Amino acid sequence: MKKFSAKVVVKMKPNIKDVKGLTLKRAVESFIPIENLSCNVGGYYFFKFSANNEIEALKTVEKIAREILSNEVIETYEIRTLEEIYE
Amino acid sequence: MNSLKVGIIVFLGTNCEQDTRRACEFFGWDAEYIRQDDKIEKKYDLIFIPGGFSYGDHISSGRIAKLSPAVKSLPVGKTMIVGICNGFQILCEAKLLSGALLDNQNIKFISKVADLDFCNEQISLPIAHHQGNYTDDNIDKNQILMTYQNNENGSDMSIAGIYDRKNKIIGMMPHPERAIWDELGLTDGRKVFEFVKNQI
Amino acid sequence: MLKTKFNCFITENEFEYVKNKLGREPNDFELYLFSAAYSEHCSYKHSRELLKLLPREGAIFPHENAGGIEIGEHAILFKMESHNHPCAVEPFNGAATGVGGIIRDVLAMNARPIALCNSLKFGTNKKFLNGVVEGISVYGNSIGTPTVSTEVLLDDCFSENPLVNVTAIGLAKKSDILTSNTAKGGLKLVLVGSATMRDGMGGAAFASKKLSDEKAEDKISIQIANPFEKKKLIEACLDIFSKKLVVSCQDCGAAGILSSTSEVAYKSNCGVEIDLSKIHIGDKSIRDFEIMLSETQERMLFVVEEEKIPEIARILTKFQLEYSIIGETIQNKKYLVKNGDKILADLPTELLVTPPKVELNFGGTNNVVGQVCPTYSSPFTLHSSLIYEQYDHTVGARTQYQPAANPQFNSLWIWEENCFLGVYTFSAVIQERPFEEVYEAILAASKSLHKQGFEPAGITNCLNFANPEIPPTMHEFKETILAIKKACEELKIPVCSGNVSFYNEYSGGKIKNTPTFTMLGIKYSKS
Repeated sequence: MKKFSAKVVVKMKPNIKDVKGLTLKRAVESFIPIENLSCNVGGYYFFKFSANNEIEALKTVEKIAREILSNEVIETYEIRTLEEIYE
Repeated sequence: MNSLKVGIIVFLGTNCEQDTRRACEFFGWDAEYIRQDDKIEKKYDLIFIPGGFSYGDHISSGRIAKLSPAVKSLPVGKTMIVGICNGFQILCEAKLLSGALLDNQNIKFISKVADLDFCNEQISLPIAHHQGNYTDDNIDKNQILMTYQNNENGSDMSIAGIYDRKNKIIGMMPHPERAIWDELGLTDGRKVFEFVKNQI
Repeated sequence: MLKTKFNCFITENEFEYVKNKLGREPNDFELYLFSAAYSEHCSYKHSRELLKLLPREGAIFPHENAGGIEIGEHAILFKMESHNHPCAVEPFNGAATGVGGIIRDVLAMNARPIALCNSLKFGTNKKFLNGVVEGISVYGNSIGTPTVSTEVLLDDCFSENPLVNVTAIGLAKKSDILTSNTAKGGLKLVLVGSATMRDGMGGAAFASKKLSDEKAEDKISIQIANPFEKKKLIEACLDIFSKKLVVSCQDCGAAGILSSTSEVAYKSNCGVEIDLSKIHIGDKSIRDFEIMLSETQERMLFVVEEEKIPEIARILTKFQLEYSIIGETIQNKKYLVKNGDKILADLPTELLVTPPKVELNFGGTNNVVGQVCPTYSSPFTLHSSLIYEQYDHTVGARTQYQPAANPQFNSLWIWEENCFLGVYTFSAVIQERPFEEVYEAILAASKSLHKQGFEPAGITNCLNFANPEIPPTMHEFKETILAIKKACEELKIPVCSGNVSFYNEYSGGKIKNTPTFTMLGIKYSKS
C-alpha cells in the first residue's frame, strides 16, 4: 500500500448566486476602500490515506469529492493535488 | 381518520421530531422514531424527515445526512416520504428530489408566518430557515406543490414545496407540524397533513 | 493588586486573607484558582449581601443554578444572565456562548429548555448589533429552542460596552429536578462534552474588570460556541437524567472545572479530589492551571455512583460525546487537585467559595472619574423585524401566534399543565431616580401581563452596573435592590433567580446602570 495526500477545492458553479461571496464582498468593502471587488467562497479539503496505486487513489478522492464535498447541482470540485507521500 | 403507521427519522441535530410526532398524534396516527443509523426494515405508511440541523449542517445542510443508513434505506416509490425543512434539504442532497436549497437571498435566517398558495387555496404556515432558497435548472411545473405569495427567500418561481407524484416524495420548507393546534391560533398545517394522508 | 496572567488577579487583602486561613502562602497554581474564584463574576463579593434582601418566597430552588415557579406537577425553571464584555470583543461568539451558558443552567437541573429571551443594548451607531443578533440566532436556532421575547434599546452610553442579557426557560417535572447539593463522599466525577482547550481562559476574571484597549489579550478570553455539541449534550443529559443515573450535576461555565467542582463540593458539604491527567484534552500544549480555568463550552459535570458509569458511557457514545472520569468526591471537606502523583492544590473547599468581605461604597455623588457619556434623554426602543425575524420563535410548537406582536411579549402553551405561560422582557435604564424608575418599570410590566390575561408569577433579573468601587454604582445598586423588593412584595411574586454584571465601563466612560428583567405570568385554559 502506498500513502497519498490530496487537496480538493469546492466552489459554487458560476451560474449559481454565491450568497456567502456576496456577504464577504460587503464585509470587505466596509472594511477597506477597494474597487471592482468580486468575492467567491469555497472550501479547501485535505486528505491523507493509503491506496494500492495512483488510479485507485484518484477514484477514491473523486468519490469523496462528488458525494460528500460537493453537490453537483450547485457546486464544482477540483482536485488541486494528488501525490504520493513518503512518511 | 384511520390510524397510519408513521416513521420519523431522527439524526443528531434534528429539532422537530417531537413536534412532528405530536402532530401525528393529533390525527390519531401511530408514530415512532427511526434512528439515523438504523436501516429501515419495518413497513410504514408514511415516513417523515423532520426539520432541524442534522449533523450540525456540517459542510452543507443535509450533506452528511444523505449518507446515513436510514436515508440510504428509504423505501423509495413504495412508501410516502415527506421531508420538512431540513428534511427537504436532505431529500435534494440525496437526489430523491430535484433541485437544491441555497442560502436565503437576504443571507439571514427568516422566521415568520408566510402566506402560501397550496392546492388552489391560500394558507399560512410558519417558516424558519437559513437555506430555503430553492433552485433547479429544469423545474417540472407539475411538481410544484406550494409557493410563497411574497417570495420570502429568493426561491426560483417562489417555490416553497414540491411533490414527485411518481415516487410519492414531498419536500417543503414551511412547517405544517407547527400549525396544527387550536391553542396556538394557527391550524392550516392540518390541510397539509390531510393532503398527505389522501395521497397514501 | 497582584497580577497573574490572562486577566487574572487577586488583591493584597485577599492574598493576606488566604495566607492566614491556610497557615501558609498559596502556591502559584492555587493563586490562579483563587484569582478566578474570588473574581466578582464568580464570587459576587460586592452584591451577595444585598441580594439576600430579595424576596424568594414562592420560588422553587431560588438558590440553585436556576430557580423557578411551580405549575401543578411541573416547574418552570428560568434565569437571566449577562455576557456583556465578551460581546464587545467578539460579538458573534460572545453572544452565542451567552446563550449556551444560560441553557446549561436549566439543563443541569433536568429541565428541557423550552424558550429563550434576550435584551440587547447598543449605542445609536449599532456597532455590535449584527454580530450579537447573528450569534444568538445561530446558536438558539441550532439547538431548537425558540427565542420568544426580545428587546433592543439604543443609547450612546452602551456604544463601547454593549449589554447582552439572555434568559433561558426550562420545563421540568418537579419530582425529577436535579440539584447540586445531593452529592456525598465516595462518588465519581465525570466530565462530559467538549475536550478541554485554552479558549475562554480567565473569562470569569475578564468579566470582572473593565474592557481594556488591549483587545488582543482579551481575545484569549473569548469562548467559542458549538451549538451542535450543545444539542447532542441536551439530548444525552435529558436521557441520562430520565434514567436516574446521576446523583448531582453542575454545568461548567465561568471558571470551568474549578467552579463546577467547588460548587458541588461546597453545596453538598463534602470535598473533591481531581486528577488533571485524566481529563480529556483537545490542546496538547495546555498547562495545569489552564485546564482548571478553561471555559471551553459545552461541558457538564456529573456526580455519579461508580456502577452507573458503564450505562452512562453507552448513552454518551450513542450521542457521540466524549467524557472522562476526572476524580471523586471525598468525605473530608478538602479541595485536592493532582496531576498524576503530583499534588498541585490542597485547600479547604470553603475557602474557595468565601472570599473576604468587601467594603462597599454607597456614596451617591457622581465622581469625575467614570463620567457618563452624553446621551439621548431616554433610550430608543428598536422594534425591527429585521432583527427578531432572525430568531426561530415557533420551534417546539408551543408559541401562540400573535399578529403584529410586541416582540417583548409572547405566550407559550404548556399543554402538560393545561395553561399558558406569558413571557415579558423589559429593562429600566436608570437616568436619575433609581428606586422610582425600577419600581415603576416592574409594576408596568405586571400591568402588561395582566392586559394579556396573565397573572404574574415570578421574575428573573440581570443587574448590569458599572464599577462597584466608584460611586454612585453601589448606591444605585442598593436602590435597585430595594425597588425590586418593594415591587415584588406588592405583586406577591418571587425573584426566582438572577445575575449581576459589574464593571460595565470602558476607557471613555461607563454605562447607565441598567437592571433587566424577564417576568413570567400564568393563564389557565378555559377548557
